[in-house]
Amino acid sequence: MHLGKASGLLALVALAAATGCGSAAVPVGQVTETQASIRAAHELGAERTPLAAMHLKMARDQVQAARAYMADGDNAEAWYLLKRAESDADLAIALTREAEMKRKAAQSRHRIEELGERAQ
Amino acid sequence: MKRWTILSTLTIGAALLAGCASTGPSPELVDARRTYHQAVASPAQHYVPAHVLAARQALDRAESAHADDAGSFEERSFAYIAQRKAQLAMTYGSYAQAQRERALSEQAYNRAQERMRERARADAQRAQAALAQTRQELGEIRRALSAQDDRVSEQAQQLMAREKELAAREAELAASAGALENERAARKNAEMTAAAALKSLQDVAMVKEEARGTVITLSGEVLFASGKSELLHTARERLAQVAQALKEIGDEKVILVEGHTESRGSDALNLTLSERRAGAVRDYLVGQGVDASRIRAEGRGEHEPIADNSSAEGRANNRRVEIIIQDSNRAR
Repeated sequence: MHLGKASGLLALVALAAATGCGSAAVPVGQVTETQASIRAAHELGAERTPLAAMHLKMARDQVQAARAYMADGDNAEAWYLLKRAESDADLAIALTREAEMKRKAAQSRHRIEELGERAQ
Repeated sequence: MKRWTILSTLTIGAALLAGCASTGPSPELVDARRTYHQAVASPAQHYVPAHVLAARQALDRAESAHADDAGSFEERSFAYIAQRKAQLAMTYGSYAQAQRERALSEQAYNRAQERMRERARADAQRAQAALAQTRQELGEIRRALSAQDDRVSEQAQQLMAREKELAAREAELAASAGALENERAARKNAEMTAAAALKSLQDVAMVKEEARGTVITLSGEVLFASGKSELLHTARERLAQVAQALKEIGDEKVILVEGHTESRGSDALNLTLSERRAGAVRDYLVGQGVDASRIRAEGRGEHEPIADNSSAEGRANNRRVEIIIQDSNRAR
């Protein structure tokens, strides 16, 4: 589903670039980078961590908004929104990793506690 | 963090609609500044300084945008990004802290496991040592039991040997008892024979039991002529009966022939006469088959009278030959 949206966005970017409207260039590179971050967050399982899932959603919403800006030729605003979306996607990745590491750390603590109980 | 996100979301639209009328920092910038300071004060500064620096750089761009055009979309966007980067730095700081805690826990776990393994190894070594000791003690007990078995076996063999020996001794004893019984019977027979033999002498001599033995007294009158030591013919018949009786009384007896005289005549003559007469009787008895090694002769002279020498009858009684039959152990 997200890939479908990404394809649509890229098509929109391509169309905007072809029409040449607006003063700023179409942020094709930024679109790619933002979509890569969103995909990475999704693949890491960000949807399973509530806070990460929220930021991932915010990233997607902002990409959607950027698409609307680019359709109107407001490429500069679109670039800012894509950067903001990328920062949300990166945060979603970090939150997912943090949750996983905290889970592992808790597991390790639990394991050593169990070992201590067994040793007694 | 959720609050920041909601605020940020709400301000996206507000920023787009509000335009650039305000000269104060936008809410996004205010949030970004606060969040950045939180990041600097958090473990992120220690663990992930590069992320904190990135947040600082984004905040600087927001501040620059604010200075150039307060409340602009650029200011709000860079402030938004700066806040996210500050949050990102804190999240990675927390991640690094959790990672470190996990590593420490793993190290502690490994150390604890190693200690447990060491304890288990030590326990196993102690158990092995105890087992070895138990085996050694068991071996010693087995050896002791084996030695005890050997001793018991040896004692059993000794016991069997003793039982055999005892049985043999009992058999010997039984045989000895039989032999003794036979001997007793033989002796009794011999004694009866001897008694019968001695009784048969009562017609030819006086026989009596005294402390010194059985004494057969033959009157000198019937054996010798007066003053002579040659046996009279009648004496030979009587002595032949005596010899027969002496042969029948058994080999364990010894025989003493004593010659006695009356008191008339010299002492020396009487002693010599008594010796000759005793010798003559002994010689005759030996000649009749009495064992010479069992018989001896002695003269007593006039020194052991049995009657008064002042009368003719007394002197006749004193002239005599005594044949004393003694047990070999009582012979004088």
